[in-house]
Amino acid sequence: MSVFFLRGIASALIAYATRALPSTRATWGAAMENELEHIESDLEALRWAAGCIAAAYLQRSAERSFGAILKKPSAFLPVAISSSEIMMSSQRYARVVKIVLAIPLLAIAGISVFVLLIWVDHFRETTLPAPTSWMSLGSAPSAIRPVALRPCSSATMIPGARRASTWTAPPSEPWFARACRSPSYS
Amino acid sequence: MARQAGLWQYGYELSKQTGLKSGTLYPLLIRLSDQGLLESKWQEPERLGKPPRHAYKLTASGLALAREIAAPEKPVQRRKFAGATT
Repeated sequence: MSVFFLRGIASALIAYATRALPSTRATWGAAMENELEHIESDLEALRWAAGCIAAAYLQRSAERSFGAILKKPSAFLPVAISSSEIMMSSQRYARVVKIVLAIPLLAIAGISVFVLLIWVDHFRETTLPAPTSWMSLGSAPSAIRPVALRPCSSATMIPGARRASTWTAPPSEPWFARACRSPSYS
Repeated sequence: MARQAGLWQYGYELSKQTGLKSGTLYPLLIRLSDQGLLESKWQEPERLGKPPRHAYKLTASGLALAREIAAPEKPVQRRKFAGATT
């Protein structure tokens, strides 16, 4: 991930934090925002900005002006970030947050591995076992005399038949020749 | 801050020294400032092109409170506690 991207996210978060602070605390918002410019590491800056959102919401809750900002639907993401930041700052809840974050990540990883295995298996050569008996493939709206059993004749419809099973067999099998000679298919 | 009583310190430095994240540190600083235990001022940056920084220092009353909290418990209290448990 680009460092400029992280810095950009941090700047956006800190701008939100300054707006989320009560208007009487504008000086503190400017203090947090200016301090971000003095942090060299972009990852540290991102953590700092997320913490500042938590600070802004804590201050709002302390001054009982918390509800106003929550009425905005766009506040969901910063609230989620700040909540996780608050909980991560507490040793008691850090494990819970990590587990909650790990579950979707593990699910995504598991699904990815499953799709990869299917993709790899797609190229695998498979030898089918030799058939030992007739096999019903399904039902058809009308009966078709199986052309596979009579290679010399074309498939013919049986009038009046509404449902019948369709059958198939590989012509190379020895028992296929015997079936072809059967009087029931003549 | 009590150890470096005369020095102005910045938020990020305090965060690193105390191990507190900004989400915990700033509400504390705001509360201390409201109670008159902390004073703050804007300082010009050391490097050009950077914005001014908000610096913090404990007031006299803040310093006294910090020293009171950091002071060890009195021996009388320890004896009472020991007597209660035996």
